[in-house]
Amino acid sequence: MTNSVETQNLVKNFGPVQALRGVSLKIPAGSTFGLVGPNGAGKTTLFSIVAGFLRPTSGTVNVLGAAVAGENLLGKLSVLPQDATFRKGVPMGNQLVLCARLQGYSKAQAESEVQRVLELTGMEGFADRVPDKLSHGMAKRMAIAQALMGDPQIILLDEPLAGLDPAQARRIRLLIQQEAGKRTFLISSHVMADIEMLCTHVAIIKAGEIAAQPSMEELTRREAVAVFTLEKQPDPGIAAVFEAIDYVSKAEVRPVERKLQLTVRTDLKNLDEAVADLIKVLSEKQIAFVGIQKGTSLEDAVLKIT
Amino acid sequence: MALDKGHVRILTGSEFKLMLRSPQGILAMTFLGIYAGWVLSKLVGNADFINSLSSGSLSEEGTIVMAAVKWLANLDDDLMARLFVEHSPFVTMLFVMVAFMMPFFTMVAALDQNASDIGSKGIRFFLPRTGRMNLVAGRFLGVSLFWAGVVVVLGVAGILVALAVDEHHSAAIIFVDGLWFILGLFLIALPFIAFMALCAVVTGSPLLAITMGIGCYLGVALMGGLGGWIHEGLKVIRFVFPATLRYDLMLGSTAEAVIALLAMLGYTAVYLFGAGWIFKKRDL
Repeated sequence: MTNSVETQNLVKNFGPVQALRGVSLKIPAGSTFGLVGPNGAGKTTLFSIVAGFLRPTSGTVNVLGAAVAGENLLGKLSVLPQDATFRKGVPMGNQLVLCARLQGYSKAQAESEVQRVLELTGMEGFADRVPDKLSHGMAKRMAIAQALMGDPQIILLDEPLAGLDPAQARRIRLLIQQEAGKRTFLISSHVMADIEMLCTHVAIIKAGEIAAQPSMEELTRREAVAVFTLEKQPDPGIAAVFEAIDYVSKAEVRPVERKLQLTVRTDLKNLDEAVADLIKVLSEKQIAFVGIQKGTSLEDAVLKIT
Repeated sequence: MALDKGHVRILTGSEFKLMLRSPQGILAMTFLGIYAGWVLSKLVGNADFINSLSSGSLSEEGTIVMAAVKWLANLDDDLMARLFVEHSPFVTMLFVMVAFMMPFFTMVAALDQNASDIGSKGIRFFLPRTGRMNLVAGRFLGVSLFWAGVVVVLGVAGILVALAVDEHHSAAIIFVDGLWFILGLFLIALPFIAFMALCAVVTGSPLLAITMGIGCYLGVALMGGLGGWIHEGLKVIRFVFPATLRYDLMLGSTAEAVIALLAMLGYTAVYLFGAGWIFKKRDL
């Protein structure tokens, strides 16, 4: 599989602050690639370098086989910048038509392309509005609309669902899912559920470095968790019983919550099969439980790494 | 990075339309309109006196006015005589007065260009679609086109006033002087529009850009003036801006006018190149 984006030892300094410390990343063509990490980890800086907004202090960025910021990328890459705002006082339709015209459309084609992307984002009927009169969510959808114009090979979306109401977030999520595979997406988000739902690959960035770059499946399936809510407060000594089981990598007792959290290595045993076994053990030990929660989330995995 | 003519044309048109309703465009137009209107009203109100300046025999009052114009425009006696006798004194007076303030009005009109888009990061909507140099060139040309329109309107008003009140010069002379007046004022404005393009990409804020622009202009004028008193060689500081050459654009001497014209275009090219170079290199 070829890569749409490759970065090598990217470093970016803002004065004394080192925002990126040697980031090397490969984003396969056609993938939906999630970039996650805590605030200030360097996600937006990395995005901005890939998009050509920022110049790296050192290191290289290759997008579609060309050095970034080359004019040969124009129209092939589109971006939803996180904190960019449209020009005040100018109707959105005019601003989007200008974007479309710069993308190579004639005036008539540009108007029809703008109409298409406004419909995709549910913003048709707002072309005459000026940005000052749009809510935060509406402005975000306008910005998403401009990113969907034309036929870009790579779409960079920085926090695409932040600030959207649930219905609109679902709409945009569906849009991304429909387009997935046809083009490469690079998505940054704090909402792990979104990344988990949309992305095929993920990179975890922490303090300006790539902390991990596993496949989504690898990240979320490597270990699974079964949490039993017990009827009575458990004896802390019970953890040792479960830790003795070969496929249980960790047993944790939370007496106040009456919970017994067991981390299962799924490469040794499937979670469902493991849970059935664990229920048997609980039954043998005459420990009653009132609830089971299965599986691990990307959020758990990311929190563990970061 | 080569310019894309199509993109530059689109950006020029867009910037021109924006200027027509932008606060800075309206403000600069209003300032210039009020100032030029005031100058024109004074010229009309003192038409007899201005006409007398063409006669060659000056009253005491006329001598004082001529001395003031001579000092302001840094002209020699021979040039002064030609500008007031061979050419319409109304057009000459209007040019001297308007050219003096032209850099300020121009800088106000041209304060934004890419500045607010850099500040709001709205420039990021354009960067994946067009080259950075296209943005600098397109917006410079859009502002220039708008300001050229304003200067043409002012020039036409000047020509009409001169035709109505000038008693010593033919319509043909007034018309040619008027056309040169328009071209001259526009040439004075061009380097300042380009300089503001430079300030805009350096500061990324319209307010900081105008502060930097006017600050540099006044600073250079002050340093050039004071420095000139201290040491003759320091007068060269004044040539950071082409304002020193603006009165050479008057038709008194063709050779000087042509040199001044080329100098204005040269300054414009240098400032614009600087703006493009910084914009290309900087983080956006």
